[in-house]
Formats: sequence, structure tokens, C-alpha cells
Amino acid sequence: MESPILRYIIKRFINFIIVAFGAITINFALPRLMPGDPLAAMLMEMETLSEGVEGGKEIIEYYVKEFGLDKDIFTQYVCYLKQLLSGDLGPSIMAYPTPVQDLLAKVIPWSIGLLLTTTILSWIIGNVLGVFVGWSKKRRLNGIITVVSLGFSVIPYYILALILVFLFAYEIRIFPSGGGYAININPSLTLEFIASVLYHSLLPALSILLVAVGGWLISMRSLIVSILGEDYLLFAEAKGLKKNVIMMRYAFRNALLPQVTGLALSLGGIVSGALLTEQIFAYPGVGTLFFDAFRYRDYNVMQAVLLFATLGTLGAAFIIDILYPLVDPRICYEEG
Amino acid sequence: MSSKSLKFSLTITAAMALILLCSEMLSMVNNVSAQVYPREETIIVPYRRVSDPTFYNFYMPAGAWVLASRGGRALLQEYFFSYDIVTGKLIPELATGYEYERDFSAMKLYLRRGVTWNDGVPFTSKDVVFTFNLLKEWAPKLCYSTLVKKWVKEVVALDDYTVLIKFTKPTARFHWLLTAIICAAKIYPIPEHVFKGKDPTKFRNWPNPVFTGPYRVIKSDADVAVFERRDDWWGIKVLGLMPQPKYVIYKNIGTAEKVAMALEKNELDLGDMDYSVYLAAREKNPYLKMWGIPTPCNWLVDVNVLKYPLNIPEVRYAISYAINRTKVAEVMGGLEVVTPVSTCFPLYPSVQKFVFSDVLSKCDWVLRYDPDRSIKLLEDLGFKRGPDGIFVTPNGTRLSFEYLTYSEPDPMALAIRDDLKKIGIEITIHRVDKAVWEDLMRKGQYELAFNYASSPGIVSPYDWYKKFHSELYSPETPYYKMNPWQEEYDKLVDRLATMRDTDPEAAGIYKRLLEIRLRFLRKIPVAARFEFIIINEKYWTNWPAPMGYPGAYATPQWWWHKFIYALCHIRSKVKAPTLPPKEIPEEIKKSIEELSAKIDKVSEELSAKIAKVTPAGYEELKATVAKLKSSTEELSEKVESFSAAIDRANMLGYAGVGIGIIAIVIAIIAIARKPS
Amino acid sequence: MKSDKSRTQHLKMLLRSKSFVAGICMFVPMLLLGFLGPLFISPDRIKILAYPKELPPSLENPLGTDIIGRDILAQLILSLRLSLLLGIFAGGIGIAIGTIIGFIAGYKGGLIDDALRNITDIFLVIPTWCFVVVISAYIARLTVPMLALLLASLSWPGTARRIRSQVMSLRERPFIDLARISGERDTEIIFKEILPNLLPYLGMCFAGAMTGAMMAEVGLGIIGLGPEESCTLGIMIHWATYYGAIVKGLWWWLLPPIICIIFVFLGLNLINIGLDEIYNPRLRKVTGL
Repeated sequence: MESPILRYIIKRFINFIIVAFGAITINFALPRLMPGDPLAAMLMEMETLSEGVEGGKEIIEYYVKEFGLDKDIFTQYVCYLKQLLSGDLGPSIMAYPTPVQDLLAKVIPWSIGLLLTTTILSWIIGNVLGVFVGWSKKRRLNGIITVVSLGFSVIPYYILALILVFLFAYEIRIFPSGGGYAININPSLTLEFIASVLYHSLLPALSILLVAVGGWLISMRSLIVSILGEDYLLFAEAKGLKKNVIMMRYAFRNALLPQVTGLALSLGGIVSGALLTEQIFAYPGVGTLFFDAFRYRDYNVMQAVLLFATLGTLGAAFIIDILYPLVDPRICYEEG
Repeated sequence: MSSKSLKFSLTITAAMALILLCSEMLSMVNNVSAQVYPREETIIVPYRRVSDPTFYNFYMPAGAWVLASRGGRALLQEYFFSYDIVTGKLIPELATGYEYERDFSAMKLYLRRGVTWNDGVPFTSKDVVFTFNLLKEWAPKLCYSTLVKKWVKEVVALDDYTVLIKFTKPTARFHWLLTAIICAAKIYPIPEHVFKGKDPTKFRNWPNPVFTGPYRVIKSDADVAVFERRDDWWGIKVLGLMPQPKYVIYKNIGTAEKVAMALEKNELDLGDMDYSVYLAAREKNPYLKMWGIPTPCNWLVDVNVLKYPLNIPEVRYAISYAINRTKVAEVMGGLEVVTPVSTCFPLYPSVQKFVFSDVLSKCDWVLRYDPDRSIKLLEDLGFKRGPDGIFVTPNGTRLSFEYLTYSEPDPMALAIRDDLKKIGIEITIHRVDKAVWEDLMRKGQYELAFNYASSPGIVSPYDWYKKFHSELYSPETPYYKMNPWQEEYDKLVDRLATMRDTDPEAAGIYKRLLEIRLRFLRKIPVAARFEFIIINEKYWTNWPAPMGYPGAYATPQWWWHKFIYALCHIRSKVKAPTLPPKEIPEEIKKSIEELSAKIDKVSEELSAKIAKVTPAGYEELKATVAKLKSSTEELSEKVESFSAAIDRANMLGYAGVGIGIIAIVIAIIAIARKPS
Repeated sequence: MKSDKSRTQHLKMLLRSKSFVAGICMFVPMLLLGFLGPLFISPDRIKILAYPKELPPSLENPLGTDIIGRDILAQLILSLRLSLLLGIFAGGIGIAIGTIIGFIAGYKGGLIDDALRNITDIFLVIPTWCFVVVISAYIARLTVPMLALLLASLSWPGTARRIRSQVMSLRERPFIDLARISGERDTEIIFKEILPNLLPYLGMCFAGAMTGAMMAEVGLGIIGLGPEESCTLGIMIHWATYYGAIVKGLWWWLLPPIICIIFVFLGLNLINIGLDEIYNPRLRKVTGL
């Protein structure tokens, strides 16, 4: 059945595969082209821990074979692809023999939990404020809100987070200074644990929120302002609809579409974690895992994290590409 | 529109109030359950996070990471021996001693009696034999297994508490592999009854990891590990040691700035801080104290001696004269914490006695700051200063090098760059990632580089000198032959391998080796920083004093093995100290006093009798001894009779007292038996 | 259809936008400070131990000294200059590459467009910070030009996408057909008709690319991955936090670079918003400019 919808979906899917393949190749190549190799890091760690290692060479030789690092890069690539297709992400080099899946499974829920809530929250707040700023005629108030939120969004995140921690976790003790949950509670599905998780995520979430709201606000504002000049709004006003109704039903809805696209794209990126947040707040997320892997040149973990991150973004983009035409009748399935 | 904006701002305010209210409630929830680890019974220290926190088999890399990151070396794992840096003495722990055969082809290891694993099984020689055989069999998959394979031919258990280790080649230094010198020892025993039949490369030793140490793991997550003291630890009885904190928590705080904040707010008991930050924080928080010992790893400038013109020794001497070590000390923290050094050896007495001042004055380029001498040396070589002030060699090479480093920020590199600029050598600082730095250092792809003296020979300078023996050279990692001294060097090092440091010949050899190293000067020593930590004394005090204090092997460095001794040394500021023996009930005390009075009287009679001992008196002596024996038996019976009613801690107390009394008596008997 | 306004009329339009003016007022002083400032300071002020360590502000050192005795005001000016240079170069290279690729993709269409779009998507999809951190290790020598190239490689996909959509919409306009019918060659069309209409859009992209590059540089510098041996704003903040400026309360070391950063970024963003208000036809109707 040659419907334009099917052709469109297939075309998009082929694009998805091509881009995914390209991204996987880059993810494979990047860590390995880095100078420094994982076993030197392992050897150095053993050396500093206990004053030198004789016979280190044999240990290295064994592990080189074990991780398949003695083969040339193309063979390694083929092996990697084969492993990937069978769903095996390989063993972690720095935490041998734990498989990479286990390490990832421990940290992904935290990243997703924190970043999902903060992304959605900052999106909502940013959009609401953006509508307000775009719609209202109060120049001064608009200016203040815009400048303040823009100002927060450009402060280097590291400094903002440090200052927040200093003020709210150490000087005025409202929030805990770090960690995913209180140290005396074990992860389980109890109310205590969930409450502890929520409590510990407030300050990291606040720090991300302050920085992220600005971007959504600006884009929403320009969308609303551009819609203000549209003819159909004039028509609705002439019909006698109240201003609020016009704003909610026409302006907001139309402006929402591109924002939803933006939201979906940034949701796709949350799997990559927020490294600085996790470092400062000692939050057990994907970013710190990647950073540790980077320090120890653990190729398998780095590849896996990059893989998940790119697949997340690509998947979100693919879904949007498919769903967008359904939502916005102005866009049709034909190209051009 | 104004009503709308009013409504809007009200909504926002309401939302924020709601969030704050929720956080208050949640914090209350947290505080309620936070009573589980009372602060005055806990020690909290910061450490790194671990990706796989449930791997407690320390011979695999994942386990080694766990071991390194959270006090496993101090709280869980115990070693055969430990080492006191100050006095240079060996401290017996799981082993009580060792004895080499005359030809150093084998070693007897005497194990301590009374040691038990934390599941109650006693520690005996079969665990040690099992460990060595496992390491040999699984080499090179387990950490340090190659060492065992290289040196150990066979391990035999002579009895339950003695092990005979036969070597493949004679060596006098095997026992150092079993000693925790700084952080940990390389070889340590693992329980046979747990590991037998399991694949050691996959086995996790979790849950309920089995160790001999005084703490057990009650929680192990990626960022937090909580340990609780075991009251059935063997050391309480046998060694009389009682670790004071009931709980020890290793927590991942985050970045260094947060550690400083946490220390200042009394949320940590130990931590790291930059020295200047410490000085500022101490004003605000008088509980902070500094504890430091000289670092085992001195800072050096490593020179690539294969590159022209760095291959000329005089150029290296010129660089060494030009570095103002005092200024480097100033910018790296100040002279209170950084000391200029002249050799690669740490400032510990045990090795410093092999740094001979007459050799240093002969090779004074490591001792003095003399930039004029540098310039003269370079000019004598025929180098000329170019128009930009940088020296140029006769064949046209400019003295412009790259200085490789990994620290950021690196004030030392900046100071050295300025110093060398003054004498006409230009360096550009090339900062790389630490892993890259290690790689480049290993491959020899650098010109000048920052380096530190890793494994510098804390026990004996021999460990440092043997690293430059030509047998360790390989084509991929050139160790740079010390021309023209390499042959002489090799011979001297080989001689040293067969003797002890206390031999009279050894001092002369060390002198010559020091001179060779200083003349070759591939590594230019610069400075050594005090490795210090900050102690917060709000909850715990009586931390051991640093170097110079007798018995200062108890270190509060919480990633070293000897942290456990510090934990026994400290006292809580809030609670009374937990002492091994409990209060003995009054009646027992009285009977013990009566009996000890009796024994005193008897011993007085005995000494009177000894004064006039005759063969007839000998029979009397025997009778008195028998009376003493029965008294002590009476005493021990009394002690036994109360063990059912009183818990073990009390019994230990009586046993201790009783053993003490028996010891006195036996001493007296021994004296009585000796011809006076 | 060339732009029917003369230069002075353009200028008047720009000045009527409050955002643009505010942005200029924030950004231009920073530019002046960064590029003219170094003429007024002597290099001796940033030698190690030139002054005592950690002095508070005084007449001699208006912003005090840092942990190894260097004057902070002199450091600030030099860092500002380097950061701005990095931003300008990285932004420039980024939009140059992005414009070329976006242009070709938009103008030619078809298979070339598909291929270029896929390449752009691949680069868009790799998580930025992963890429940056990894590459910074890969480039063994992170000099200032290498860093500029690295940062440029992050901003070109965004520019390429936007330029492509603009070119595609412009391509369909009647005046292009008219130019083609009247015999203008392709290159003439590109340079005489399309490019002038893209100029304000390019300006916005440049401001965006420069902001992005500078933010990335500051982010890298703060965690310690800055270019070697030089001092940028990010590296200055890194030193300040590393030596505990927050705990010690040394606001004169920590705040000035942050304030400079805020001024530069806020200024650039406001300029962007202003340009958008003026040249975006939909917005123009509403804001009356």
C-alpha cells in the first residue's frame, strides 16, 4: 500500500538508521583515538596503591587479550558491532569483571529521574512565564523578568551550583548537601525512601531549573509575540471573544507546538546526564559514570554511555518527526 | 490585566511556599530516621565514589577499587605485618614473626593464634596456603599474583600456625610483600572456607563479606559505605585494642570545595583542604586541626636524557642550579607545608640516614640556588645567548623545551618557567590529562616533565635504586642507561640484594649509588609537601600526634591501613571511652584482691627463701610453687564460675587480670629458677 | 529586491529597539575593556609573587591579589581579551562552516541536501559535553587555536540548520525567479540577491555562536580543561574556586570574572533579541519597528 504516510515513515526510519550508524561509529572511534590506554591507568592505580608492581607486564598482557585490545581497530569494530547486536555491552575495564549493563542500570534511573522532572518543570515554568511576558503590555515588568531569567541562564553552572550549596546546604540548612538519598535508608519502595529521594533532589533540581528556565522563556516569548500579529487573532477579537480565551485557545496552543518539539528533543538528551550537577551534588548519575570511565579510559563504559545518549536523542527526534505532521495539519507528509 | 497578574504572582508565591513546606516535611522525615547513626558514635570521612559497590573480592580490579575507596584496608582487611615509618620497626598483626633460612631460600612465617574470621571460623595456616596457591594458580588474572608466581616455589603448612614459604630464587626481602608499609600490603590472606571452589575472578564475597577486621559492612552503595564495629573481633581479646567509633561512614561529598565546606560545618571528622583555605577556615571554626607527615613522594623535574642538548649533564646541572626551590615552596603552599629537597628520598629518618651530606656537597646543584653558576655552566659549554636572551647551542639549537604536567592549576610549573627564563632557557607548559601524562612518561615522549617519586623506597633506599638496574630496561620503555656508570651501578645493586642495610658494607655502597644518581640527574628533585589532612575535633579528640611521637604508626589518614590504630587511639568528646574490659563486680574485685595479696605474701616468703636456698629448701620451694599454682587455679576457677552470669566482655577483663597475675607469678618463678 | 532602506535608516531602526540598545550597552564596554585595557597595564603585574598573596582591594591593586601574588585586575583584563578573541574566532569559524554547508544544502536540494542534513544530524546528536571532554584529551596540545576550532565544531550544525531553512524559504520567492529569468548567473544570484537578505540573520547566528563558544570555553575552564598556559575567564574562576575563594570569602577574586561573563553573555543575548525584533518580519509588525 503506497500511502504517503508509509513512505514518509520509511524514509524517516532509513534516515534514523543512517544517522544512528554514523553516531555509533563515532562513539566507537572517539574513545580509542584518545591518548592513554586503559591498562596503563590500571597499572598506575596498582602502583600508587602499594608501592610498585613487579610482573605488571604479564597482568597487562592478560587483560589486553581479555578485552580484545590486541587486535587491530577494524577487528575490534566488527566485534563491537556483533556484540551490540546480541545485546552485550561487554565487561567494564575499570571495574572488571562487572559487566557494563550492571553499572549503567544502577545509574540511569537517577539521571532520568532528576533530569526528567527538572526538564519538564523548567519547560512548564518557562512557557508560563514566556506567555505572560509576551502577552502583557507592561514593558518594565517584562524587561525585569526577561533580564533576570536570562541573567541566571548565563551564570556558569558550576559557580551557581556551588553558591547554592554554600548558601542553602551549609549556611542556612534547608537542604541536604548531596547524595541521592539519606545514608541510613536503603533503596526500597517505601515511603521513607521516596521522600528521602525527593528531598535530596530539590537542590540539584533548583540549580538546573534556574539555569534552564531562561531559554524556554525567550523562545516562548518570541513565538507569542510573532503570533500576536496574526490575522486570526484579530478576527477572534472582532468576534467578541474575551482576551483570556483568545490567549489560551489560540495563541498558546499555536505557540505550544514548536515548544513541544524542543521539549522532546531535550528529553532525548537526558540520558547523557548532567555531569557538573552530579559532581557537585554527589548525585549517582550517568555523568559521573562517564567521567570515571573517561579518567580510567574505560572504552566499554564510555561507548555504552554515548550509545544510550545518542539513541535517546535520535529516538526522540524520530518520534517527533513521525508525530508532528499528525498534530500540525499544515505540514504534510510529502517533502518540499 | 492587573487582576490577572495579581493572580499570577499569587500563584507563584503559593507554589514556592508549598515547595518549602514540602521540603520541611521531608527533612523531618529524614531526621526521624537519622537517629540510627548517632553522631557522637560515628566517624564520617570523605572518599571517592565507586561504580560497583558490592564487589568485595579485593584481588580483582573492581574489588581493588572498592578496597582503595572506602577504608577496606583499615576496617576490613588485615595484613600479616604493618610498618612504623618513624621508628622503622615492623608491627606484627596477623603474623607474629618471620624467620629466613640461612641461605634465604625459604622463610618461615609464624601466624598469630586467636585470630578469627568474622563468621567465627578461626584463621589458620590453611588460609595462607590456600591464598598463595590460589594466586599462583590464577596468575596473572589476579592483582599481584605475578609476584607470587615469580618468587614462591611452594608453600607448606608446618602446623596450624606456621607456614614455610620456599622461594624460586634466594631473597632477603620477601617479607616486605606481606607488610603494609604505607597504605596496604601486596599479599594478604583470604578465607579458604569462603573462596574454595569458587572462581576468584568472578566471586564477589557479597553479601556479608568475610574478613578478619574489626568492622563489618552494613551498607555499601556507590556514594556511601557504612561500617559497624564488631564486638566479637579477635583483636579486642588478643591485642587489647578497642576501636572507639561504633560506626564509620565513608561518604562521597562531591568536589574539593564541598569537602572544605563540610569540614568547616562539622559534618566531617577528617578531610582535605588546601593549606590557605585551612588557615581561613580555622578562624571561623576552632575545632579544626592539621595533621601531617612528609609525603613519601617528592616532586621532581624529569628530564629526557636522550634529547640534545639535555643529554649533556652540565645542562641538567644548570637547570638544577636555576630552580629557586624556596620560591616553589612558597607558591605551592608556603614554607610551613612545603620543604625544598635535594634527593628523591622522602624525609623519613629510616631513609634519610642514607643521604650523606658529603655526597650532597660534592653534587651541590641539588642543594643551592645559584643562577649565575647556571649561566656560567652554559657559557662554558659554548652556548651563546641569542637576541631574545635564550641560549643557542653551537649547532643552532635553541634551548626551548616543553614542560609536561597534568595538574591544573600548577603554580610550580609557572614558577619554574620564570626561573629558567632568567637564565636563558625557555619552556612552554604543556598540560595534559593525567592518563595522557602517564602514557607519555612511560613512552619517554617528553622533554621536561613534572614527576613525583613513586614508590621511592620508604623502607630502604634499595627499593628505589633497584628500579634503575639495567635488567628493567626494555626497548619500548627506555630507562636511559646511565652512561658511563651503568655497569658499576648494576654490580653494586646486585651486591645489595644479598645483604641487609645494617651491614657495614652497605653504607659505602649506598654512598656510591647516591653519587651516581646525583651525577646522572635524570630526575631533578625540587620539593616535598607535607601530606596533611585536616581533623575536626568537635566530636572526637586525642588523635595521634604526627612524626616524632613514639608509636606514631597510628595515622589518621583514612585510606591507609594504619587508620585502625588511630581509631583505637581517639576518644569521644561526648561519650565515655569504650574500654575492652568492663567493670568487674565488687565481690570479684575483692576476691581478686585477697588472692593477689595472698600471692604477694607468698612471693615475699619465696624471695626470702631464695636468699637461703638449699637442697632442703628446694623441696620447700616446690611446695610453695604448688601453693601458688593452686591459688592461681582457684582464681581462674572463680573467673570461670562467673562467665556464665556475666557477658564475655567481663570475662575478658577477668581473664586479662588473671593472666596478668599469672604472668607476674611465672616471672617470679622464673627468677627463682635462675642462679642468682 | 534589494533592501529598500539606506544605512542611516537601518541604524535608526536598530536604535529604536530597547533590547538592542541594552545589549550594546552591556557588551561594548566589555569589548573596550578587553581590547584597549591591555595597553594600560604593565606585564610585571602578573608575575608570580609580584605582590603579597591574597591581598584585599587597595589603591595599588584595585581588585587585590590572588593566591600566588598576581594582580587580579591585570589578570581580568588579559583573560577578558583572550576569552573574547576565542569567542570571536570560534563563532566566526563556526558560522562560516555552517553557512557554507547550510547554503549548499538549502540551495541545491535533493540528494546533496539529504546527505548534508544527515551529517549535520550526526553531529547534533552526540552529547556536547561528552564530545568536548573526550576531544580535549585527544588533542594532546590544547592551544588557543585548537580550542577555537574545537568550539567552532560545536556551533556549526545549529547555524547550518537555520541557514538551510532560511535559504530554502528564500529560494522560492518570486524575486529569485525574476533574477533567474533576467539572466543572472547562479553566483550573481547568491551574492547579490540572497546574501544581503541573510545578513541580519547571519548577525544573529554569529551572536549565538559566539555566546555558545564562550560558554563552552568558560565551562571547560572552570573544570580545569582550559587552554594551556594562558589565562581565560574560565581558568580564572577555576583558580578561585580551587583555592577556596567561596569558603574564604574572597569575593574580589571570584565575582569580577563572573560579572564580566554575565555582561558579555547577557549583552550578546539582548543584541540577539533586538535583531530578532527588528528583522523578523512577523515580530516587526507587532513591535512596530
